[in-house]
Amino acid sequence: MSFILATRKIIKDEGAGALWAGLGPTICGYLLEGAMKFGVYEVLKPTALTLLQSLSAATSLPFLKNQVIAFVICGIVAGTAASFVLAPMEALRIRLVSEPSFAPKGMIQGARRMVKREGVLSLWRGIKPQIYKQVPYTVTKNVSFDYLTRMAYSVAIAGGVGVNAGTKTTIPLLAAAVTSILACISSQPGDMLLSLVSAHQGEVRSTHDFAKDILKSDKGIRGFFVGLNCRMYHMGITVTLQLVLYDFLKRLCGGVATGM
Amino acid sequence: MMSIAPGWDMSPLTSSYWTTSCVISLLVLSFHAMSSPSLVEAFSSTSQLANQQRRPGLDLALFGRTRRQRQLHPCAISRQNIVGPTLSRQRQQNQQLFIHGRPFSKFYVASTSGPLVNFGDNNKNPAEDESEEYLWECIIDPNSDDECAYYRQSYTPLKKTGTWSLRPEEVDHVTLKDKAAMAAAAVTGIASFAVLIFFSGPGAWRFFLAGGLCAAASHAIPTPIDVVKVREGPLLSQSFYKIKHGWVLISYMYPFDDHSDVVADEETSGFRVTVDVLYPCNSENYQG
Repeated sequence: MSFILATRKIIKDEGAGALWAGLGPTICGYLLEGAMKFGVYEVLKPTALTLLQSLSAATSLPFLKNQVIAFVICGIVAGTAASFVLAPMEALRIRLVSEPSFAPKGMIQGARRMVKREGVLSLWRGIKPQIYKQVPYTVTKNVSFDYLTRMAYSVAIAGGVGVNAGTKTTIPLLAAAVTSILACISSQPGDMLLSLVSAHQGEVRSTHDFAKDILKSDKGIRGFFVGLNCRMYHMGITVTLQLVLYDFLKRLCGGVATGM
Repeated sequence: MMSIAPGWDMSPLTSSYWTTSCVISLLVLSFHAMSSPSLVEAFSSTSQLANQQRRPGLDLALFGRTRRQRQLHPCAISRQNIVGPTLSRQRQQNQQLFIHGRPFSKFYVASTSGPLVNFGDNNKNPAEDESEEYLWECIIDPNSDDECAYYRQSYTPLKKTGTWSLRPEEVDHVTLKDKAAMAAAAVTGIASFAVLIFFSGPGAWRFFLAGGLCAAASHAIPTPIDVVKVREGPLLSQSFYKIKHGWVLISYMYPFDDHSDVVADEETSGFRVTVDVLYPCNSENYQG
């Protein structure tokens, strides 16, 4: 069944409102996840740079004194923290979407039922695949966007273009578009595992079992990248929008543009 | 050293590692505490379940309106049909949806390593599915005409817990403990973020705010796409569910006063109650 036919079927059977199932957990979950992901990343950057500088001086390893390495470390910490924040809301969202009768009254009812029936820790059951997806995604997204904008502003300034309203719109947009592609590719294996685990929650199989299955299949490692093209459209729009919005909102709050 | 934001004070940043770690630990510990049996009425202790399993005929009762014959796995379940209370009695009992102070409860699916027929789709010949193994659970709505309100995949990881949860009935009843737990979770979450932002230094709030808003907006917009993907994706392609590892029972824990009230009379008013006594597949007690 094609995507459009599936959409029509849902609207016909359950009304247009059904398409917005799980909106509450999505907004709450990603509000917290985004805050954690971007906040922790930005806040840790100076500390990570300082630590690496100290480490480089102490160990006489000059390559440690590298901005990108510092950014990657920040991205790993931020991605892990964001996974823990997002996992419960994602579990709730998936339950509400896949099983509308579970909590017809919405996310509060759904959360209460999940906690009462399965315990609080069940909300973090999908944490492992979530981390597999979120950490590469966050590292690639934040570091690439940071690095690309930084590079682009340097080129613009060196080329005499200067930093004006036009460059402050164009550079984040282009950097975000490139970043979205990279983030999509890097997080695809994790997303594949997360999808499989979510779809087979009743099975007693670990995330590693699913990974092994994929690797043992005839596609091999390419099995992790099945559906990448379709996801690219979806993720491309989402990530580009997210990063452009982030840069805009940050400046709106009085911060400097990313990469400046 | 790079400038993160105007007016940025670098000195508090050295504590941000510790702050982040502390906040995450605090969150994990809080939710650990909230998952204690005193706060979560999940009936999930092994001993309780073991007791139930040792006395399946007494305490495990599956009731529903059995106008049509359910197709249950013959290896796992033997059944007796009994006639339940009359409708007035049912209404009365529905108003007393508590057993020893707990909400009216049911608990779930028994399965085993053996196959289970597809009883989620009555139009299918069960024999067609015998080669498949399903894990299932049946949710029964006592106020519904349907025998089973819906079937769904069980989300309980069997091996990890070694047991099955006995889950409270879906009665919309928010206890004081629920409210306390939810309030504690909300307060803990907000406080954690407040602490994190406070110790992150002046001006750090803009990163948290901008990050949160942009992520929420960018993921909220494609919600319909996600819904279609999930609903028409692999989850829905499973019309029934796999059974694996161990055995459990779908059952309501129903406050029967007298189990001897076993009458097989289709004409009796009131609803019909089925007591399903479950055995493990390899049990010699199997009577199906």
